[in-house]
Amino acid sequence: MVDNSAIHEVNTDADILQLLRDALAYADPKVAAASSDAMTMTSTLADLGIESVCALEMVGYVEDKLNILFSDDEMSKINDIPGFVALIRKHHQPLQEKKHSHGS
Amino acid sequence: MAVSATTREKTYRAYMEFFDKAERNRRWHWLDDVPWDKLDTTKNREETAICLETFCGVELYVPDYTANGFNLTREIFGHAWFQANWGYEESKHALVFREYLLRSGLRTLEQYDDYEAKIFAKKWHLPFPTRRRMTCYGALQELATYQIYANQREKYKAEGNDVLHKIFFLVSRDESAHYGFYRRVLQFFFEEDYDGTLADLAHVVYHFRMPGVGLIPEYDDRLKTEGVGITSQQFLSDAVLPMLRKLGTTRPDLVRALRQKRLEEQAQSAAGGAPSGQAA
Repeated sequence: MVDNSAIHEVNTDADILQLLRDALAYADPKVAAASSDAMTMTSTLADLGIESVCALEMVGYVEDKLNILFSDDEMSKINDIPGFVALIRKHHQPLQEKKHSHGS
Repeated sequence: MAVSATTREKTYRAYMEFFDKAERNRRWHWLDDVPWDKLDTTKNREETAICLETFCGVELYVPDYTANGFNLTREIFGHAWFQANWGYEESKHALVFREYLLRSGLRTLEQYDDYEAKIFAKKWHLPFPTRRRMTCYGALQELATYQIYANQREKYKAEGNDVLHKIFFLVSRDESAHYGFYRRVLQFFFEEDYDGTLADLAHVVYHFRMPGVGLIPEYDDRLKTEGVGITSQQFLSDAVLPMLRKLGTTRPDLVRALRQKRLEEQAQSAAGGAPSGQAA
């Protein structure tokens, strides 16, 4: 199972990319070995060889790690890394912003 | 797996409803209900030929689909009788695609015969060995096929190709009805054994391949033609996720079942065994 004992801190695009690389390695180690390094902010899922089941598991991994839940409609529209990153940003408030908003 | 009397009765009732609607509202004739007089050969495109030829090839495996399906369902009245009706309806799909290919001149009889011979040189085998897994497969496959045919229906409507628009209206409606029956039977499985059925559904989603894979000549090349298939993303958004919602289960539940399935297969693999539950 996904270890979500420590919720990921994702503040930057680089943090999110690393989270997505971890998700890919979890969902499909073979695809990750072949394409994880090639994952950039312009990649499409198809470019990376990420198919439907792999995408499902990646989304599940991210949701568990960040303790968030995408709607099915949002999830099914993810077809590239920028879209995935934007969806994570929509649902996940970075810890620094949380601290700021709670502290003010 | 033993089938309870309750499930038998529910399956029978589901079949009766399916068959009643089919007989009253969904029967069609490949000559009378298709406006062949509007066939316009100036609309002929090789892409159209590739799509129709591919769809026809997949539908030509009806003898294998029905033979295997009967063996799996013969002891359950409602399911076995559905199989008979399903085979009849799918047989018309191959027939109407064949007719269009030849009447339009997209393929000569010699070309078609050569293709058909290649199709019949191979046999389709059950991708999964149990009725429950094949019901999962049937539901997903019919829904995916419906999406493919519905896309074609809209494409030809936009292009003003009345003949193909009507053909794809008829065949997509059939596929939608087939999906509906499989989904209802799957619902019965969920009511009897939620966790076991979810595990089977996860297994089938994980190993899913459309029936033409490995059978249709140059299948991968054909997939490059727009309309022959649907993308992985469309399979998820238009088949898997809507079906989960209809079944009253959720994506997170399916993901958990997928993880469990993967762990079990890894354990089996480490122990030197083949993953269970998938036919060759």
